[in-house]
Amino acid sequence: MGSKKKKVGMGQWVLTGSMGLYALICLLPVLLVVVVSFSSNESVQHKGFSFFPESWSLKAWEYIADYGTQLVTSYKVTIIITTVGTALSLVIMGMFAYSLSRSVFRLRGFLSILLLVTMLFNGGQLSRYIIYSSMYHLKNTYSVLILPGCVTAMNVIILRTYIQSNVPEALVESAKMDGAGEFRCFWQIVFPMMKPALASVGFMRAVNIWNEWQDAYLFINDDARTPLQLLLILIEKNIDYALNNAKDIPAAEYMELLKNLPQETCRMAMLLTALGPIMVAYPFFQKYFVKGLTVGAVKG
Amino acid sequence: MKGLLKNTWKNRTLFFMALPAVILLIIFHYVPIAGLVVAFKKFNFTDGLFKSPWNGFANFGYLFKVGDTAWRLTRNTIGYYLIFTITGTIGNIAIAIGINEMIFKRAAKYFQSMMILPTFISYIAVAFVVKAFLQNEIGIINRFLIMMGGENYSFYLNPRWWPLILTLVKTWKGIGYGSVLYLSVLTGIDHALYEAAAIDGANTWQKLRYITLPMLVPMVIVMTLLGLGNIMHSDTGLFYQVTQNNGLLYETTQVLDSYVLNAIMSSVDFGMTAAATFCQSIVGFVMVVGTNLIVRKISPEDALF
Repeated sequence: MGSKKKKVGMGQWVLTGSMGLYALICLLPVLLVVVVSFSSNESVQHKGFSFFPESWSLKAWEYIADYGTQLVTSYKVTIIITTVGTALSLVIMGMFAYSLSRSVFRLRGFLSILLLVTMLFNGGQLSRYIIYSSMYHLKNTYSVLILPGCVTAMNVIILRTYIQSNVPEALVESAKMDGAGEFRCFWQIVFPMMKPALASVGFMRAVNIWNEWQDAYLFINDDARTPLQLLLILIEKNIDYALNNAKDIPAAEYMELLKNLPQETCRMAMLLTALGPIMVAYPFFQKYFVKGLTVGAVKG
Repeated sequence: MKGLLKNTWKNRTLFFMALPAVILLIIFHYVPIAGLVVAFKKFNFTDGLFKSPWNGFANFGYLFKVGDTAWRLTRNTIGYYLIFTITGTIGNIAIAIGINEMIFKRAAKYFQSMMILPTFISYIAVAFVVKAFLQNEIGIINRFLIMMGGENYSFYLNPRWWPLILTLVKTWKGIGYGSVLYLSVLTGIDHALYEAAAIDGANTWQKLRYITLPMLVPMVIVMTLLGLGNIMHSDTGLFYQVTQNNGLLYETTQVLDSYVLNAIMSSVDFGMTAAATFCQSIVGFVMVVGTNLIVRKISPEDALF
C-alpha cells in the first residue's frame, strides 16, 4: 500500500468512486439549502425543491435583509452565548483538569469520582426542567443556555489526559521551585501548552452551544433572548399554526396569508445564515478535533 | 482522613481551581438527581418540588394503566437503539476501511472532511432539509415519484416508512464522525502483518478478513459496551424535530425522551412522566454499572472505573 510505482488497479477506482459519491451525499443537503435560498419562489412552487431551479432570485435574501430584525437579535444572542460559553467552559474545565492531573493533590481521587458519576447517572429531563425553572428561576436567562453544559466529564477527561501525556510533571515542579504558585504554573505554563486540546474541546463545545435547541425551547420565551435555533423552530411552528387555523377563512384571504408567510426560499436563506459560520470555521478546526477524539479514546 | 485534610489545605490553590467546576456539577447535575423524588410526589408548581405532597407508588400505577403507551415507548426506544448501534457500527467500519485503503491519500482526507460535516449540522436544520425531501407535492422524493408516473405519498401522515427514514438520517449524520476512532485503530496496525500475508499469497479480501477485521474487534466491543448506558436515551433532535413531533407518526417514532419533552411542553400531568423518567434513570444506571462489570471481566484496562 502507498507505493507509487504500483499500477492503480480497478478496485482502487471503484473504491475511490464510491467513497467520493458518499462524501458528495454528505454535502448535498447543504448544497440544496444554498441552491433553494437563491431560487425564485415560483420555481419552488412549480418545480418543487430542486438542485436545478427554473429561475434564480435574490428575493429571499432581500426579504431577510429588510425584515430580519429578529434574525439580527437572535444572531447576537447565539454569538454571545457561544463565545462566553466556550471561553468560560475552557477556563473552568482547564483548571479542573489541571488540579486532577497533579499527583501531589490527594483530593483528586474523590473529585474524579464526583466527575465520573455524572456519566453514569442523571436526573432526567423532567426533574432537570422542574429544578432549573422553579427552584433556580433560570427561565429566560443567558445562564440557562451557558452554564448547565459548561463542565462535561468527557471533555475534562480529554483535557486531563492531554496534560498528563504532554506536560512533564518535572516542568511544573521546577517552576514551583522557582517560586511560581500553582495558579501561575497553570495559567502561564500549562494552559498555553494545552492549545491543541483546547482547540478540539473548544470547537466541539462551540458547535454544541451554537446548535443547542432543547434548553432554549424549554426555558426561553423572550424574543430578546431567542437564539438562532429556537428562531428556526418558531418560524416552522408559526407557519404550521397559520396554515392549520386558516382552513375556514375565505380563499382570497387564504392566498393573501400564504403570500405573507416566509416562503420556502426565505426559510432556506435563514437556515443558511444559521449554518454558515460553522461551515466556515469547520475546516480550520478539523485537524484538532480528530486528534482530540482520539485522545479521548485513550482512557485516563 | 486527617492527612487528606492537611494535604488539601496544603494544596488549597488546586482545591480552589477545581471549585468552580465542582459547584457547577453539583448545581446542574447532582441536585436534579435529587429531583428524581418527583416520581413519588403529587407534583404541583405552587408547592414546588420538595413541598408537594407524597404520592407513594401511584405514579408508577399509571405506567401500567396506559400499558399501550408504555410498551410503545419502550419498544421504540430500545428498537431504535439496537438498529442504530448495528447500522452505526457497520457504517463506521466500512467508511474507516474505505478511507484507509484508498491510495489517493489527499482525496481521502477531503472525503473524510466532507463525511464528518453532517455531525455539525443541527437537527433543526436537518429537519428543514428532511422536509424538503419528503414534503407533499414539492418535496424531492414526491416530485420523483410523480415524475415516474406514481402518486404523491404523504410521508407526514403515514408512520410506515419512518423507521427507515430516521435510520438513514441518523447514519448519514453520524458515521463520518464515528469512523474517526476506527480509522485511528487501522492506521496503528503494523504493516509488516500485511506484507507477511502478501508473501504467503493472501489477496486483498483475505487480508481484510483475517487481519483488519480481527484488529477492530476490541474497539467494537468497547464502543458497544460504552453505548449500552445510553440504551434508554435517544436523540430528541431526531425523534422530536425531524418528525415534527407529529402525533400521526408516534406509533413508530415516539421514544421516551421525546415523550417526556412533549409532556413538559404541553404541561400535561407530570405523574406518569415522572415515573417514566425515574425508570429511565434507573435502567440507565444499571446498564452502565452492569456493563462495566462485564468489561472489567473481559479487558480490565478498558473498564471505566
